[in-house]
Amino acid sequence: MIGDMRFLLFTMGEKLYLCRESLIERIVSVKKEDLYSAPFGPPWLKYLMVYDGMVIPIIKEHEEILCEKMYNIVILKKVFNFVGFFIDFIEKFVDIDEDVISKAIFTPVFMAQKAIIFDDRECYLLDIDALLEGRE
Amino acid sequence: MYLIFEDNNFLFGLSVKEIYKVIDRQSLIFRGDKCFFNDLEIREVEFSRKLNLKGNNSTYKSKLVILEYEDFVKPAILVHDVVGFIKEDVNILKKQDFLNRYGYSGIKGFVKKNGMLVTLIGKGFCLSLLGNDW
Repeated sequence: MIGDMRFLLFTMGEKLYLCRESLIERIVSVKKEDLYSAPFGPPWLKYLMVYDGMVIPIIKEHEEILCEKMYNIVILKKVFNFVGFFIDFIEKFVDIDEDVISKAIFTPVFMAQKAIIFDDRECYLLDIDALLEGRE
Repeated sequence: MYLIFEDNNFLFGLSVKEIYKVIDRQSLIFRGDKCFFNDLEIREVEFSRKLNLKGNNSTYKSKLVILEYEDFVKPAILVHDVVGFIKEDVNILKKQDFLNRYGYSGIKGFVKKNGMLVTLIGKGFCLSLLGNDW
């Protein structure tokens, strides 16, 4: 055993994702008025949001219309850059053995590159570069 | 001072120092495949189409923002309408670097105005929309 890594387990659309805790800058709940439609860019770049005096990209893969009062957005940090994305439900933080992560298998899923089986469920490992590029 | 124009329900700001004149497109005179305003040749580009602007593109584009350019041929962007001005000393929100990956590399920043976000662009950004002609 190499050691445990901490992940946020959440759902997005129909899928379960795991996001490494060390990548997470903040989890915020925002009102629709706090989001500005992105004037241009790829289809998954849905909104712009003001965070820490900057305008950051907010990514949303699934297409349903926003109708809730508040939306959960996870803001990730890479060096001094931030990117946010919509999530549906936060399940919990979980510790996963690094050995399990290293055996993840490739999977063509938006915002992820690899998947593992955790708690008998298929979970996609969120990849910040895949998220930024909209890669499958 | 920034001129604010609207296209596809999005607001954009362009420094008035970079603008030669704003005219109604109807004021253009067409001769052959070229168009002129006061004997200046105008080379126009439809802003929303070139930028692949999201939103409703069905609105009539009525205003031509002619850019300052030291030549007989002047570049211009065709937009839906002009909506006002904002002062240059307004609080400009910085653009975050990740946005550059999505075509925002020429964007100078953003300004909040009446609950909307104004995207500040420059002449260089507009010229890049005109492509190889400039």
